[in-house]
Amino acid sequence: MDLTPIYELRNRLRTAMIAGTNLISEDFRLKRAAEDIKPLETLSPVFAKIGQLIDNLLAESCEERESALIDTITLIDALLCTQGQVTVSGEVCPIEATSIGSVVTNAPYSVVKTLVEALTTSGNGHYQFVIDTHKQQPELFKDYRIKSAMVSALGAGYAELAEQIEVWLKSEGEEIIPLLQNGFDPKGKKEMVRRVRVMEAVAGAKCNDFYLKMLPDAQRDVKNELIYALRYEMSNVDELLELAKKEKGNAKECAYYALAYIEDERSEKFFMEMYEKKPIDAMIYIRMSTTKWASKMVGENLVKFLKFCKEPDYGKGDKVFALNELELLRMMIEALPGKTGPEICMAYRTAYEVEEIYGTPGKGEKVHVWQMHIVRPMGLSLHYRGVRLGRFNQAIANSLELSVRLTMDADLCALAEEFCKNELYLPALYTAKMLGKEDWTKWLKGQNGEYLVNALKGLYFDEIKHSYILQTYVKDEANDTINIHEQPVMQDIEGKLADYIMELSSVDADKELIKFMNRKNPELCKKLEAYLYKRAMVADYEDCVAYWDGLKKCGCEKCDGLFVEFLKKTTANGGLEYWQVGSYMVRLPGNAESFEKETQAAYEMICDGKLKIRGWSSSLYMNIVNDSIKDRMR
Amino acid sequence: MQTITEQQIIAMAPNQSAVANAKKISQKGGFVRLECSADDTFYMGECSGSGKSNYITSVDFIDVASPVCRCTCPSRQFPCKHGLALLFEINAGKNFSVCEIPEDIQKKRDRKQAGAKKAQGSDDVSELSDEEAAKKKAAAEKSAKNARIKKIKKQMEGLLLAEKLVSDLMKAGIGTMGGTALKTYEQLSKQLGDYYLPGPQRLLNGLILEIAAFQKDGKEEHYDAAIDIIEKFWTLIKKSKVYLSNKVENDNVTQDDSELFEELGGIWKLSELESIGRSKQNVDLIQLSFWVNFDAARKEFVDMGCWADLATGEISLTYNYRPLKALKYVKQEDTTFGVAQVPTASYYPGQGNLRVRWDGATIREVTSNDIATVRSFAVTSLANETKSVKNIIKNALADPIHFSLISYEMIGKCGDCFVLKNIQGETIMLGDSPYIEASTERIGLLPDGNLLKNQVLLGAFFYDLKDRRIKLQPLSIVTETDIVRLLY
Repeated sequence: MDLTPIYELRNRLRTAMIAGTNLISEDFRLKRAAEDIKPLETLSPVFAKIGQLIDNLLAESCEERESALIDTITLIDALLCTQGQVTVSGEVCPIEATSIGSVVTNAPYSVVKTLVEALTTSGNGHYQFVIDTHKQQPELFKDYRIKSAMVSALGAGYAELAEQIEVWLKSEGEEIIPLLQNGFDPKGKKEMVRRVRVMEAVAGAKCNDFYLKMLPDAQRDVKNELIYALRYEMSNVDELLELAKKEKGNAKECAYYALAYIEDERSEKFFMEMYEKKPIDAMIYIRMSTTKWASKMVGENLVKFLKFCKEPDYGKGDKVFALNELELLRMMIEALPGKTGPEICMAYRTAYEVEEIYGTPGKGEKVHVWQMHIVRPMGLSLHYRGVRLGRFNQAIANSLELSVRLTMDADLCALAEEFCKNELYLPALYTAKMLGKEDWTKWLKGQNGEYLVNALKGLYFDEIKHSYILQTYVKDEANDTINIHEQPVMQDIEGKLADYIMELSSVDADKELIKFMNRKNPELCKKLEAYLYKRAMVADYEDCVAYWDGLKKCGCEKCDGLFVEFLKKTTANGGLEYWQVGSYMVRLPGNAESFEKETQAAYEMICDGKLKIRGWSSSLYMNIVNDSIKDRMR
Repeated sequence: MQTITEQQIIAMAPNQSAVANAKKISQKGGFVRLECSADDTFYMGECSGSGKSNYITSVDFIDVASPVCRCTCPSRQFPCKHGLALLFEINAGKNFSVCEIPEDIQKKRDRKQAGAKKAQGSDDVSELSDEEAAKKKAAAEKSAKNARIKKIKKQMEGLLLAEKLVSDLMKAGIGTMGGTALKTYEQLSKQLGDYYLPGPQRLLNGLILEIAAFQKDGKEEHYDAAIDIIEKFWTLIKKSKVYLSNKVENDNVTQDDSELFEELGGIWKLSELESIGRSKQNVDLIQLSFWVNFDAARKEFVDMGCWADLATGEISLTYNYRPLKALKYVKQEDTTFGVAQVPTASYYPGQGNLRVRWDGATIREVTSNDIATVRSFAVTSLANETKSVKNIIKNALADPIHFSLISYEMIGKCGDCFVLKNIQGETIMLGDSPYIEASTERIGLLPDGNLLKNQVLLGAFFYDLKDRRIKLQPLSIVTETDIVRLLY
């Protein structure tokens, strides 16, 4: 049955309700609609009833027009509800399940909704709530409802939250892709940029068709990121060359950066030509490239450069690097990390020879500019442990270590071994040995442990993967983000390395040990507790707190002597201020009982004048102690 | 030793953090003394806290279905974390030494018992002679009846005012309702409250909100919602006038099972529902879905639970109202994963999915039998179900949504729309109703393809005027082993 006249009549009645019954007599459309339903009146009593009601409504004699209007529309609505279509015409096609996350069936509203809200809306404390929940209930983030909220959170107004979510999503599998592509707006803002970055990280070239499809409509930052994402697919070279030609500003730069990743003769030729005209620019764009041609280009040109300063008469007269050459040399050194191949090895070798010629400048010796200030802080290009590199020799050694971390290239590892006479190269060698498959225990025993700490930076225990990982932060200059590079460590960390570090008895190594130790290994904790306790008793007062943190991590329940020894050391250095006492007490390990005993012992010694606290107040001290005891009991 | 499950403790907690804190107290040995009475109805603990002296916490199991926690801590939360922690101690089966029931607790128990007796109207009567008692009862009943008649007459006056209000509004048109006129309507709304008509008052508030929203964003859908409200408002006025005048004319003002009582804003007591025969004994209810709505017209959050009766398959709803003004003091309900074993469940009058309430239930684990039972209640004929649903939701006073368990062969897509198809080849479009949080999109996110084939869906039927269709909002999928919630 065609219900169009009824719908039309309903529409006119709706208008009448909005305009008021005063105007009904003038509403010719309503009258026409009323006439249109006349043929239906004979079909069913309900239509006849509607006909009656509408006739009454339009009758001039109608005294209760308002009531008639509502009655009519109410009856029509009831009728339309009963006549509402149910069946869907057309074939029902199966949906492919996304395999995104899993179903968590026991998470209540109070948890799921709060987390979804924290991820999808703005408000105070959302960031901290998400971080805390991730720490305490990581399994919740596997739920399919949360996964979708996480994608929405890429557009969170609070940038820290969005960035953290980006990091988490980057560690997901490719199954997250449909969520990222669903509702993608190429004209969008930061959220879309982050979506592209996640796609790049989890799928790379597999999303190439999507990048290309979105590119024509894309704007601003999304466009730049989409162009940069084209670097994963080698066949994009023509597209990128075209973009490099026609785009401007940041989009052009992104095309250059992307092109630098393409292992193709045409991109090599492009940068060779650029190097002829603008060598510094060419080096900037190929800095992050790991292609063979880029390695060759950097290696060969660096060798050429270094040969110049290897010449015996370098430094005489005007035979020195000009300022722009110094800049280029700096860029070449910055471009070394991550690159491999014979040319790169040759460059390291030449740099090593140059170092041997010039050596580390001593006091009063003539120093060339390139030796001292050639390399700007690494932090500007490659985030690497925050080490600031100023000197040429340090920069080359660190570049080698960073390359070993990123590539584990056999030739570079061999170079690290070859150069290890120079202690600057020891971190590279430690890293190579630690990441290598061969058991390094025997080799490690023969070392004096110096520079081991450098290799341990970034080592941590992944509680989900149950393995040790060496993490390196690498800054991506093209989109100004930090990428985390992880290498699994196969060596026996908890056994042999921990034992070795304990033998070393070095404060710096101990601090690293405390950082990377697996606190869920009871045996390790027991072993370390005894060691750290001894070390804490003899450590300088500045280092004590680090040991206390380690003891807490081990679950140490005692603190006998720790606080008294600490106060003895601080007394020897002039004594603590009274306001510092509380913050130190909080970090002291031990249960309430042990803590009470220890602080009581300290109290008595302070009262006896054996220990010194500036601005001492016994009541204040006891208040802090009591509060701390209560905290420990909780 | 009493047995209490973690699920029950969580259900008693005012919020999630209270549970977490309680667990910490229990795990870290916060209780320095644990005692229980010889008859196992009273548990006590001495808990160290941030105060100078320890807190004395107790749990009274005199009514096993609803234990009462008490604590000397200054927290305004009820039960406080210490009370919950003591429950966790019981849950963990810790050792309690035997103690006497303290005098103050005994007094509290007596007072409670006396209160319960008073509620049943049997306190003083027992001490009087039969004649005196009958006299007293008759006098009380007469006084109550007079008060009711007075109230009904006042309500009838209010309905006349409401009728005139709607009539005037229709004459002038909803379009004239904006601007300063809204303030007049707000005053009229307040007046309806004076006439004991909170139900119509809420409808008028809803209407005012829709018009105010239209003035803000100019979206036509606000007019559609306003018309729906007017239809309901008008129907309520008409039916209530007849209902109330009949009551007065027939001199019968006792409670009956008319849904109009609640629509007019009346609040049912459980005892009243029982007295009109709307209660069931020993009911096992399993929650299939949970969500929270915000009712701007009521200025209240409403915690909604959708439950299936394991004996009959009947779907009923729990409503927990939390007024904005009292959010701190009213506990928010949460998802229940177990089966609620309800000694007495009271059902509200009405049609479709009835509102259910109970006082004190024990929660047990869901078994595979329970799940199988729920699945067995799923309807297999969409045509029959939609026909009966249409007959319910077409009524202006009825809820515009209806919850059912539907058995399906597959959930797939037809164009851009999600569609449910049953084994008979009948289909229905899935979509989000305006009355519940959106959930349809989550169908597309489900990680397991098996969830979309040969399962049972808890869905909410509603009529979509714009699409001229009856649609179904998916809420939960009942598989052979689990309840997969699309909401919560």
